[in-house]
Amino acid sequence: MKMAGLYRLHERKFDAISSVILGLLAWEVIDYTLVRNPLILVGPSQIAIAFFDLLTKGELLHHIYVTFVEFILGYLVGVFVGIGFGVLMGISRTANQILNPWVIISYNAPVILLAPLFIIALGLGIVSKIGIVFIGAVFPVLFNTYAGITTADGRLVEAVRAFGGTKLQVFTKVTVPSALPLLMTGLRLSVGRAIVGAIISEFFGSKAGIGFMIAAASEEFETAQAFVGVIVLALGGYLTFEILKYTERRIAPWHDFKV
Amino acid sequence: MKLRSSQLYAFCSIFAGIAFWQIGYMLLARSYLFEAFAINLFLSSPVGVAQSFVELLGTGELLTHSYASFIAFSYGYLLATVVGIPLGVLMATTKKANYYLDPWVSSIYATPRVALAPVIIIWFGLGLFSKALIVFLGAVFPILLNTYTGIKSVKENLIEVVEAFGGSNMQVFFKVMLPDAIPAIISGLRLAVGRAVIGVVVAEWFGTEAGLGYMVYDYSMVFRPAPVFVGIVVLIAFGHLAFVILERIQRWISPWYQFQLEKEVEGMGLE
Repeated sequence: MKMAGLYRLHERKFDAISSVILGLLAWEVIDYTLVRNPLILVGPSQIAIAFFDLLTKGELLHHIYVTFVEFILGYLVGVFVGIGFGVLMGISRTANQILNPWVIISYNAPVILLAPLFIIALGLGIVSKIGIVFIGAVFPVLFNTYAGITTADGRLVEAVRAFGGTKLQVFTKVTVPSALPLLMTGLRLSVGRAIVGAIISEFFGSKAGIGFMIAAASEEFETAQAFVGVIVLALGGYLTFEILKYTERRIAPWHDFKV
Repeated sequence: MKLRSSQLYAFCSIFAGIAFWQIGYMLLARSYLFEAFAINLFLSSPVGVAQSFVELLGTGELLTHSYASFIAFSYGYLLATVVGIPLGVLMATTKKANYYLDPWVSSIYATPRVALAPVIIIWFGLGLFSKALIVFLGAVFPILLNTYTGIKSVKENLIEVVEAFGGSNMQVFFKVMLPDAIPAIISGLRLAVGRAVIGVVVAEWFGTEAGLGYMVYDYSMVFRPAPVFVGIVVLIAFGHLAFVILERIQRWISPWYQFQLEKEVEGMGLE
């Protein structure tokens, strides 16, 4: 009875754990009995072995470091430029009219297609990679900053003005706090695009990085190694996402975040 | 009237941008920088792109590549729709299915799926199936998650009314849940278009001999930027067209939704 009650209380967690265990087990069994070809399918156990192997050799950390540097530099440039232009478009009508159509096109378009051009323009070094990460990260930040600034409540602006607030005060007391939640959403959306940018830029030609590791391992039919790369990316994306979600709650605790 | 003037501004802005690009390129072509940085190897002018477009259209190259990409896109996108919508409905209506599928759906969704492209090519070869699968992986999650949220956010009291008048589960689903969730499902389908286009291109980067992604990659490797821009413009135009068509369909099926959307935006401002 007690066990049944405990199960009902945490049904979701129990089911999630059993689903993961059953899934991994099925994967391992299918791999071991039906496929039995390490070139094609590798089970979770082999991926775990490859993971610890790469970790102890220090290879994995080196690749992670290289990708992280590309990611963080491109992301930061994207964030600064995105916030700058977003604020400009939010406060200046002329800037908005000039830039708006281009921003909307670029936000919806798969800008990652420009990657080969970045490589031939900027070479195979880190600069082209930062460029590709930047182009992926900039538009969600820009778009959400702009949307955040323009959706500030008109009545609050009027209230500050009515009590003799200056334009600067309206901006710092009303516009910025009300734009923060959407800005944070933009920062979070950008993470995914920036990681994809870093990976794609490494696919095209590099000597290190997680994307390079995946591509190189695939070409050598080291499928387990490729999977290690994929899993590291998943963990990295998840971690950054959670950090930003935590920051969101700290910076704008009044806002009810949907995702 | 207001819409008209904003459209006019948009048109002017795009026209001015293209003119600025053309003039800038021509000025750049005269300066010494052009030679020094070999700018013509990676940048082209609008006129050059247009010329290249006509040329590629004339040789039939553009149509061949567009056709190949379109086929891969269609298969992957349709598969994503056929899998994503029922799975989303299942997860929203059955608690057990949700608990069991959620860890897998969330973790695969959090993974950048383009990273799986090389592995998929090894598993399934260079043919159409791998390409369709890469497109599928990109497109399925927006559809699945939007279907899930759409069904989950159906108002309880509507369901209760149908049940109170003796409606069966089937009737609840077809008369209330599905119509109420359709705007969300279609916006998932719209989000999926962009993901699918990226999927097609990434799949074609990895070793094929046809498709717009292949065309973009191939011409950039021989330093001819004009056809590269042609490919990019065609892909963006295709994505935009699919987007607009789906928006029309949504307005046709659920004309009441536009109203709700405006309400929501208004609500955001009031918070």
